[in-house]
Amino acid sequence: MNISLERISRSFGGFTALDDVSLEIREGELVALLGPSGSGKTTLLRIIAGLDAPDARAGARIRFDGAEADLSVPGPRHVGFVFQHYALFRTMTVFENIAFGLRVKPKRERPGEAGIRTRVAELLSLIQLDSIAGRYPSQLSGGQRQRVALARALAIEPRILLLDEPFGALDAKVRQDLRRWLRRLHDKMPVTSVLVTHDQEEALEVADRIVVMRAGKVEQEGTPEEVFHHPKTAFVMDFLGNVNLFHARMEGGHTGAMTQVRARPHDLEVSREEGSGPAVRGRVTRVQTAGAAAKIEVATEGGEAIMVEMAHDRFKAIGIAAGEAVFVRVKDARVFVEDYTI
Amino acid sequence: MAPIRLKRYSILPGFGLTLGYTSLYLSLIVLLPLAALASGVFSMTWAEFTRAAFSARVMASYKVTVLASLAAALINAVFGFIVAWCLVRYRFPGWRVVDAIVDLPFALPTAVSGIVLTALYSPGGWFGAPLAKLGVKVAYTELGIVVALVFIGLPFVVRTVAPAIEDLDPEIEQAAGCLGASRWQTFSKVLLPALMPALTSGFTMAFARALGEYGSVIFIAGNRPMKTEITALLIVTKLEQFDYKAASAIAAVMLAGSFALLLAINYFEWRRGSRHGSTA
Amino acid sequence: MRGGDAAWVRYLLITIALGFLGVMLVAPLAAVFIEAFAKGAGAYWRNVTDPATLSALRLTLTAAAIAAPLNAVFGLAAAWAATRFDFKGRSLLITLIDLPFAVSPVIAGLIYVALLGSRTPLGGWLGGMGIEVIFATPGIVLATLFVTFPFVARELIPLMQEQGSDDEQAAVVLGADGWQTFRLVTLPRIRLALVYGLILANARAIGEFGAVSVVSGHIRGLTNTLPLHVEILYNEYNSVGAFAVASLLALFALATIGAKNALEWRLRRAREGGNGQ
Repeated sequence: MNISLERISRSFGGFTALDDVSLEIREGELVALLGPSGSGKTTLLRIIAGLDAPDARAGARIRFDGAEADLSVPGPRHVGFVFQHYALFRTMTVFENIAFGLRVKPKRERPGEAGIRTRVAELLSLIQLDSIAGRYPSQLSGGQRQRVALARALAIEPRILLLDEPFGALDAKVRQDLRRWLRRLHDKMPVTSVLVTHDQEEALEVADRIVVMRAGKVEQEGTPEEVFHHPKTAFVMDFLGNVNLFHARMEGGHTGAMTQVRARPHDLEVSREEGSGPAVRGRVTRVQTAGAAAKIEVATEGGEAIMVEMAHDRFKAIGIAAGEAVFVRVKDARVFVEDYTI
Repeated sequence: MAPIRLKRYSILPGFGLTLGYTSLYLSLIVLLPLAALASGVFSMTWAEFTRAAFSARVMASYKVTVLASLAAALINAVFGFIVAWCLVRYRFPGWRVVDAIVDLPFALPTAVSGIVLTALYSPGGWFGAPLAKLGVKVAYTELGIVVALVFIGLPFVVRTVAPAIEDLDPEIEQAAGCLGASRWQTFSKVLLPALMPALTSGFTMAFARALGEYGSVIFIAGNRPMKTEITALLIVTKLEQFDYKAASAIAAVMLAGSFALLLAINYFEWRRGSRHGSTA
Repeated sequence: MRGGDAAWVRYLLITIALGFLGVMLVAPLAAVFIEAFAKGAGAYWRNVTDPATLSALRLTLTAAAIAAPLNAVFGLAAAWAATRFDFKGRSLLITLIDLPFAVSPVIAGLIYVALLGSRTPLGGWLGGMGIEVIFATPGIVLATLFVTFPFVARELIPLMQEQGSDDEQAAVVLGADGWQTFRLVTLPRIRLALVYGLILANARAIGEFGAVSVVSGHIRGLTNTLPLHVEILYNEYNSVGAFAVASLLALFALATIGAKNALEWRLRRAREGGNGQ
């Protein structure tokens, strides 16, 4: 289902959670709303679900497949919604939780008892929890609860699936497994999905498209590659990964203006020789090789701390140790207009 | 083999002193007098006991006490639930006063509630007069007993159910709504089952309190033997006749019932904790 | 609130709730005062200042004043033992502390008659030494102690359980002795709950009827408490007198409710603020 949001604003008392946001979500895509807490991403999700209503302002409109939703009618829309804390019904078994959406359907749409059993069994095998249908939510692990919540949302065959920080309350390892599983599931059953998260890794790994939000506005939207490699603002670059900041004086067009240069740790290079091109002089304060890449911390002469990341074989080849004087060269960096000060 | 220890190691002092004092005080004030009653009962022969505790007049008192208590607890379960729901979910003018006044039956001495309810429901009273015109007699009948027991039991239900309503996760309701449940379906299939343990313990507490109630009932009940004589009053009557054995025997039956209910309450609390306890 | 109850449901439920509370609680409360003043302020004042009323008031306050500190000390000791240590029989202890709530007030009086009545060995022995318990003031105090027994402990135990003993352990590790730890660390955090428990216990002590009725012997001017005095006046068909004394008790009940609510408000704020102040 296509979802079209136009000029959506929402304020709570004096706080503006959403400020004139417009967004298109296309059939079958998995969109991640990414941003820090307070950026308005959850509010936007709740508005799509009908759990919250936008401020009544001219031009505010939500359309589902072109049909305009009546924003004055309160109450949740029939969507699949997965809550951050699962919101499983504690007094019902896993089976009854998943069957709930089928049992409350109006009589003429409701499948018979056999139909419900079949459907729940399918979903249980989809979430790989066939064996625990009779358990209560309190008897499940966090990851199992999350999968049950997802199956429950999918049981009504929603045309939109909304996930609010679905893996937020889980351990790092479980979180990784589940988000890969979610991605595979979406490839198999491409329901239009919107996922809210503050974890950039999760968004980059799972989503077809990422909407980066900040202070109630959309900062940038694009594919994971676009937002990661071509951030439009300093905020997006900072939020999507580690960043080193250099203070520099511009030459050429803006001669004399101070600016900040941003470079990712893996876009820096460390060597003992000065070599050609601009480089920053510094001293290695710490070397940390336990992890996917070797990390080298360098204190520059100007007193700034810089983090450099390189592959292990490269690190072994140059063999740098703490205490050595080095040069840090920038392979790729970015300057954002907003950072100029004259 | 590890030595059997009474308590786990702790660096905090005062275990012996506080537990010793607690046990001594508990024994002197509660356990010893209860034991004295029990020993009096056990010195009776079985025939003596049954004659005292299960005679027709006593049986009639059990019946009216239990039935009136059940009726009152049921009425309280329904209205107490509605009151608790309104207090937690809605804000209306005078909300604070209403919230406070619910505790009145806890705070008002039972003798006071007894005489004032009698005045209100006697044939000349504010409620008694119009009811009399309709042919309904409340004071000095079983209905009067129920009214008094509703009065004293109400806060038990409200104060047990209200925190449970407050604890309901709003996401649960939203989840049910997203899954297509109507408001009534959400209430009856999701919220009410989640509140049932609290409602059950509130009901049981109101019921247990009603079984033993004395002060608020004796004025309005009329105390006609075989009809509106409650068990607590019968114990006092036997005492006033210096029939200590009969009083003790009836009290023993009542105590057994109360303790069974206490166990039931603990069981409900425990079940609430074990099955649905941790957050889901 | 989006997704809440419909307006008509809300109005219906509030109407039912207010109607029920109005009939069941507000009307009786109002009636106490109206009946008390049925023969004017003069009659009211005569009844309230009657010597028998004043002597009943004195006994009621005496019993409550003795019960309060004993309850406080017991509640503190029980809560310390039950929440700061893990020992065998801990949950049995907590259940036994609640026991008096499950006992009918009439039986609460009866068990003291069974233990200390003049025909029992213990009562006979005490009587031989000239000490009257049953049908005398000590009996009234004991019955009051019994019915108010759990109040303080049951407020303190859940609170201290929830707070945990980390603070006390820190104090002991820093070199405080047990008394210092209790006074400087524990007491400030449970002060409000202690007062709360005492308010409830006090209300019950002053209002207790059944248990006191059984052990009192109804001797006017000697073993009469205010609630018993209400009964005596009522049974003598002195309705105005009974309601005048009852109105004193009702005023006290209202003060209790006010104090309870003020404390609850402060307790909630303290909990939201994260400490027990």
